[in-house]
Amino acid sequence: MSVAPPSVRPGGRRGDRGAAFWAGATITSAYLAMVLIAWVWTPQDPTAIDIPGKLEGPSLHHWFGTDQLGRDVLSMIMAGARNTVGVALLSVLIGAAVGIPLGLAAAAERGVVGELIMRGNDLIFAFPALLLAILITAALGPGAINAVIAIGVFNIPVFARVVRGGSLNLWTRDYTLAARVAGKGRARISLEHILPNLATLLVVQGTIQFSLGVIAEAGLSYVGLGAQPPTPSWGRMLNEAQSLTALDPALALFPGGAVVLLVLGLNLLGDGLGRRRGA
Amino acid sequence: MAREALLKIESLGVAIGAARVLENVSLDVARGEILGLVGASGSGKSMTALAIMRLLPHGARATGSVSFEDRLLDAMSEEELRGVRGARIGMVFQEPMSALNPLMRIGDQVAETVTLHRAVGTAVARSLAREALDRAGLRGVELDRLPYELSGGQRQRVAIAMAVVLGPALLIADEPTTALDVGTQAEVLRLLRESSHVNGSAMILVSHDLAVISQITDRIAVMRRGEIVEQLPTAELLTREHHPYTQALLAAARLGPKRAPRRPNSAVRVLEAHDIVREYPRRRRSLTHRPAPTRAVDGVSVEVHAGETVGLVGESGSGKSSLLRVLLALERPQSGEVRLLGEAFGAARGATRKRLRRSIQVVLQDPVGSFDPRWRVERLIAEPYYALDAPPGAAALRANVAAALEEVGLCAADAARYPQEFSGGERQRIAIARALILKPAVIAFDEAVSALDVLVRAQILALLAELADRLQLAYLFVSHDLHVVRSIADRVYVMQHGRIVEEGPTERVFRAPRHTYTRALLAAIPQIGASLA
Repeated sequence: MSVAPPSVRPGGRRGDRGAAFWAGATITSAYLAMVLIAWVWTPQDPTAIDIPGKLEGPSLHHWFGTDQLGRDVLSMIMAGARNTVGVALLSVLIGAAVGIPLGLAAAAERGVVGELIMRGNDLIFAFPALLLAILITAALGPGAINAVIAIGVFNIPVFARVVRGGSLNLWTRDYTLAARVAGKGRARISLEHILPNLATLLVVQGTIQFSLGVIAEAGLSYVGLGAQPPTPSWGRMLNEAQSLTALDPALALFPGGAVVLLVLGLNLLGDGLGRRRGA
Repeated sequence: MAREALLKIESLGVAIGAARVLENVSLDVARGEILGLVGASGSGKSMTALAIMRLLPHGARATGSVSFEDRLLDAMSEEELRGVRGARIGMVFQEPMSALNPLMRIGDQVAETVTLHRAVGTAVARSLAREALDRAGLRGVELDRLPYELSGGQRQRVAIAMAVVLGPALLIADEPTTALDVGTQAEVLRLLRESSHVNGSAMILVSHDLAVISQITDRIAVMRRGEIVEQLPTAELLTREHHPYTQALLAAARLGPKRAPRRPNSAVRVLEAHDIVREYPRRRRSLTHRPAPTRAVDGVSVEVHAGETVGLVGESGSGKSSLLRVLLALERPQSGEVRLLGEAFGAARGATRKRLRRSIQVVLQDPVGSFDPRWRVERLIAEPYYALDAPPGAAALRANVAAALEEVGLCAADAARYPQEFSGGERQRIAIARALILKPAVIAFDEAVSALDVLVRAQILALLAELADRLQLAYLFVSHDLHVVRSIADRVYVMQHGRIVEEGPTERVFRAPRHTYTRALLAAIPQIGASLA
C-alpha cells in the first residue's frame, strides 16, 4: 500500500531548484542580453580595421584589447555572439520542428512507419555530428545559413529519439486509452496528451542541443565553414589567434572563454531543469 | 501478556513537517506470534512498519521507543541497524516487481542478503539461497532466472525467500498479496504462515483488507489516522462488539451478495460479441521460423442486456483485458464480431463508429494513470464530448460537467482542480463522471475498484449500484476480485486461458459452481471467520 500521503508538499518550487540551476540561468540570460544589445549597439564597429593600433592589450578604450588588424575584440565577441547564438538557436528549432513530429509519429504508428522513421534516424546518427555538418556545408557552400541547416539536420534524430522514448512510455498510460474510447485518433492524442506531457523533457533536451550547437558552430567557423568574413565569429577568431599565440596569447582567451562559459551555463541550466523534473 | 515480548513499541509518534502521521502507537509482538495491522490507506500502517525498521522517509521525525530482542532500536547507530535489518527483521513489500532488482538473477539477490550479514563464501550463500527458494515454493526454478521471467506470485515468493533466508525473528509483510490474484494470494498467505510456524518467527502482516488479515493472524491491531483504535485476538473478531471503525472495516470486507437483482430487459442486447478470437504475434527467434501467435481470447461470446450488470472474472493473464479492448473497438479481433445496440461496432468505420462510441464508456483501474496530469477536471470529464458532432458550448459544457460531478458525489467547484489534488477514491469518482457525461447505454469497468482500499471500495460500489438503478445503465464489470463481482453483478462470466468456462446468474454460480476452475477461485477467496485451509 502507499505510505500515508503527508499533507506537506515539497517546498516552494523556486527554492529547490538548486544553485547550479540559478548559475546556469544567470549565465545564459547574460549571453542572451548580450546578443540583444549587439543587434543595436557594439562599443565600436567590429569590422573597423586600425592597423597602427593592432594587438593592443586591454585598455579603457579597448576593454578586451585589439586583434592583429586592430579591431576591437569586445565588439567582435559581442557581434560573434549574435552569430553563434543565432545559429545554435535556429538549428535547435529546426531539429525540434522536424524531429518532434517524427518522434510522435514513430511512437503512435509503431509498425512500418515507426521503423522507417527510426532507421532513417539511425542513418543520420551513424555520421559523426561535425563530419556531417562539414559534409553539408562543403556541399552547400560555407555561410551562416548553411551552418544552421547542417547543425539542424544533426538535431533532428536527437529530438525524434527523445520524443519517441518519452511517448512510448506515455502511450501506456490509461488516459491515452480513455481518449481512444472517446474516439480520438492517434494524431490528436499525440498533440493533446503526449506532447504537453513531454514539454519539460523537450526544454531540457533543447538546452543541451543548444550548447552542442554552440560548439558545432564554433567548430565550423574555426575551419572556415561558418559565417564568412567580415562577419565576426568566435571560431574564426580562435583560428586567427592560433597563429599569433607566440605574439599575443591573450587573443585566444576571449573567444575561447566565451564559448566555454556559454556551454557551461547552458549545461548547468539543462541539468537544473532536468533535476527539478525529478529525472 | 504472558509470552515473552519480541518487539515492544511504546508511544511511537512520527511527524513529517507539521503533519503528525503516527500518534502514540504502542504495540507488542510475542515470539512466534502473527500480528495483523489493519486500516484504510493513510491510516499509518506502513509508516508503523517503516518506523520499526528505522526506514522513515526523509524529513520524518520519530518519538517514542522501539525495542527488539531487548535492545532499543532507536538508540542504535545506522551501522548496528543494518545488522538487524535483513538478518533479524525481514521485510516483504507490496510490489514484487519493484522490490527486486530487475537486472540481478534471483539466486544472487537472495544470496546477497546472506553475504551482507554473514562471512560466508559464495557457494554457501548460494546453497542457502537455494534452500530458501525451495522453502518458498520455487523448487525447480533455476537460480539464474531474472525477475521479469517470473510471474507476480513467483516474484513475491523470491521476495519472501530474501526476507526469511537468514531465519529472522520477525518478518514484516506490508500488503504482500494486494497486487496478486486471489488464487496466488491464498498460496502466498499460506507460505507466510508456514514460514512463520516452521522458523518460529513472529510476523507483522500489514493490510487494508480485514479478510486477508483474519486468515492467518493471531491478533489484530486496527489503525485509523495514525492511531491504534483497537487491539483484539483474531478469534474474537466475529464474536463480540467492537469499536465502530472496526465494525465498518468488517462490513466493508464482507461485501454481501447483491441485494435485489435488477430485472434486466433481456430482450434488448446493448453489447454483444460473437466468437471473438484475439491473437498477438510472438517474438520471432529465428528468421526462418515464425512462432504461432499467442491466443489471448479464444472464441469468446458475451452479451450484456439493457440495464444489466454483467461480471467478467478471471485471474491476470486470462484474457479479460484483451477481450475488453476488443469490445471497446480499440483493437480488431482476428475473427468474430462486436455489436453495440444491435449495430456492428467492431467493424464500423468513420461516422458510424463515432456515433456508436457515444453509447459505450469505460472506467479504468489506475486512478493515477487515468488522467492527463496537465488537464483540469472539467476538460478531463468533457473529453468524451469529442465523439459528438456538435459538442455543447462553453456554458452548457460547464453545467453538464457540474451535474456529472454532483452525480458522483463531488462538487461543481472541483471542475477547476487538477486530478493530482484528489484521493484515489475521488479520482475514481471523476472517472465515473467522465463515463457518465455522454449518458451511455453501457459502461465497462476494468478492475475499477481494485486499487482502492476496502472502505472506499464499498462506497464506490454503492455509488455504482445507485447510478445503475437510477440511470438504467448496463455495466460490464471486469475484475479478478470475486467478492466485488458478487456484490454488484446480476450475471457473471468466468474466464480462464482465453475462454469462458462458466456463465450464469451470479448467485447460482457462487452457490453451485459447475466448473472446477470456478470452484478453485471461490475456495481461494479470503473469508472472515474461515481460517486458511
